[in-house]
Amino acid sequence: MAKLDRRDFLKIMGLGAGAAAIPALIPGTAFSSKSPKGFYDLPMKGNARILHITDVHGQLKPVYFREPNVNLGVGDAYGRPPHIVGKKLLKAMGLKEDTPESYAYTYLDFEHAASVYGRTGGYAHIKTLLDMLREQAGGKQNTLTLDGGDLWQGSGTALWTRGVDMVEASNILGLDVMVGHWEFTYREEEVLNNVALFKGDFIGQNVRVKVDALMGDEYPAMVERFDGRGLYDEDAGLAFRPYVIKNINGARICIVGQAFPRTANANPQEFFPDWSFGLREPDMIELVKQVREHEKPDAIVLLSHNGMDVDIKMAERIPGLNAVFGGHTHDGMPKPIKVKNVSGGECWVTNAGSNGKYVGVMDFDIRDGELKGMEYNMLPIITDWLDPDKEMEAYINQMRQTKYDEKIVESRASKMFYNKNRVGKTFEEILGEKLAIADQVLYRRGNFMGTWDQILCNALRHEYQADVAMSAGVRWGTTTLKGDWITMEDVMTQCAITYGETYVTEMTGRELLGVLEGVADNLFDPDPYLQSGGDMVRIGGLDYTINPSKPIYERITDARLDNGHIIEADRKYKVAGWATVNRTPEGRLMWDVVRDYILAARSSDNILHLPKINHPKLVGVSDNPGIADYPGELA
Amino acid sequence: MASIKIRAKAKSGVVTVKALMTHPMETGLRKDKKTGKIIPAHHITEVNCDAAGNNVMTCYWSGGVSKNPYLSFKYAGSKGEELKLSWVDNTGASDSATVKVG
Repeated sequence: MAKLDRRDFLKIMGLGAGAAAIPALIPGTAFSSKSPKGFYDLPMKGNARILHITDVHGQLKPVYFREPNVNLGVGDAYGRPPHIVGKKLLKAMGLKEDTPESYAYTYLDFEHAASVYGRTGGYAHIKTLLDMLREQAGGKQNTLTLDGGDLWQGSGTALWTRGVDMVEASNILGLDVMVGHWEFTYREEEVLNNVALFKGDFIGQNVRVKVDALMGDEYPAMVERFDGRGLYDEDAGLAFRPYVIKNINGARICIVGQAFPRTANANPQEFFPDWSFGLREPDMIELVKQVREHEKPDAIVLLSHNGMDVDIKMAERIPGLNAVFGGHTHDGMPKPIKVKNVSGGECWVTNAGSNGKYVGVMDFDIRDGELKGMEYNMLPIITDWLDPDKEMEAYINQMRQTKYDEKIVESRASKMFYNKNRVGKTFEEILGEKLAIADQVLYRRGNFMGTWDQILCNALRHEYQADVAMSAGVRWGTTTLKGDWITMEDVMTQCAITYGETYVTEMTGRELLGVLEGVADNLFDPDPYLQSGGDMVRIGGLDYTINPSKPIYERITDARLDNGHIIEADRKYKVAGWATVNRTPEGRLMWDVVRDYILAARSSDNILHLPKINHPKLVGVSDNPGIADYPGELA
Repeated sequence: MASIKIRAKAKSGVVTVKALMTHPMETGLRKDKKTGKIIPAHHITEVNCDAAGNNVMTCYWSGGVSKNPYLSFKYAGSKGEELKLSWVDNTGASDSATVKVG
């Protein structure tokens, strides 16, 4: 019987005549619990297989996640993946519209595609796919499963269990090696506890123990309590193993770990007073050199939370790296970027997106101790096309039956450690609360503003009667479809962090615009090593114009409040915000603020209307392949 | 006064010494924000390290070294010998600590 392989299937699905008619011919239910024949067939090409997932952000259940239509690249990154969106991205990757890939990798026709294909990801479904890919490689022993970090944070249950739910789920998943970023926003003891509970290796060459801690008594005592975890090498000051070497079906592959270099800038240092981070490129160069010389592995790969642009630069500069498994920037790139390395070879830079939407599969062909070739594929995880793994599903359901009690810690402020209105309810009950019906697709991803961000900003202004609200330009946060109920679970995916306290403050116009300029510089500095990997701070109640190609302090102009008032440098404005890193504010937690706003603002028929979205006006970007279908003004 | 934390480890004939000293290391150039008066200079001027009775390291410091200085250096030595690190500051105060090389 002729087997219809994935490529043939996609060709048939993509052919012009059928393309527009397909949704009518094939309603979502036709694909339920069954993938189109061969979609997940990926026989191993080589003898060792690495599976890579990243930035799951606590999402154990399947999600909707709209990819961005605004992902601008500047300088060398102009028009280079990941800074291509929509149709141009499909073209660059050799993909077609109206396909599962188009749904997974782009924002194109999102509402409609979501109704056809349904949700993506879900840990129970991911497990099933991983097991299929392991089987196709000849067994789990011929594979290695990596996670690029931002795993333990991003949902209500991850916060309330302090990451333990994700650690236990990742043990069931069969995760072998991981690195961290938001992982470090739990207290050091909680991190070490999670590292101890985790059955795999938690690595990171750039996480160091500060001298004061090393020379003191408390830190070594804490490390002792966790059987040495937190101090891998006292002389080098390494908190964790910098790398591991795994034997996969006879091939020896070294995985070097890179935690998010800017963890200490982007998050409150009070959570990790004894740890310092940084890019540590010279250390990495030296490390790879030593490993090549002394351990002689067949291949060296980097499991990285640098962000894609930083990875591309690093891939050029670190001699001897064969591949980078990247994350942090949430850019699901179906094809790797093949970078010319200073040592003359090629380093493949991949990025496996976020939220459990994709798995990256790299097959290594290693013969006679030499790396002969690599083959990379990325598979979108369409939930309905995979049966849920029974063990994982049972774990998730049972965990969500946990009762919220007085021992919960969901804030830095002791008065708000737990919320008495939630005590006695199960996690499932709390998260299942229906708040209002969405009047449009609610999403976050995009350089400047998302519709979910507008809700967050509106909620802050409502809580504090503020002129302006600021909300962090993080890239996690799932999508809610138009017409669907917004639940407490949806709210928490937008703001569940260990430092979710809100605040209101007075700022002069000068200070306010200074914040915007500072963040814009982080985003649009042409040197990727000087970028943070997030998006522009979201502003509610204020419209502004931005020209990304200008230098700092010249990018932001024409800032006005919603009512048209032009921002004056010396005038004071009431500004509300959340997720502040340098102190613990007094205000209520963000998710309670958002919940109460939604309930107060919804119409009598339960719809939450968003009459205005503060999309800034963009200057000089209309030709940039990293922007399409912009709902705001372009000049 | 226990203002010095010190560790010393020998490997292949080389001893690596790490010492963390607690000291304000005032430059004498800063002004008190409230009174407007200059905060007087108060910093370590000399650090000495003796191993098995022999001087292996002398440092001459000024206010250019930051608060709670961390010092690390290597010398040719062996496990078991006694190491003594001492400092003197511009007010005449001093402190020392000893450790056995591990």
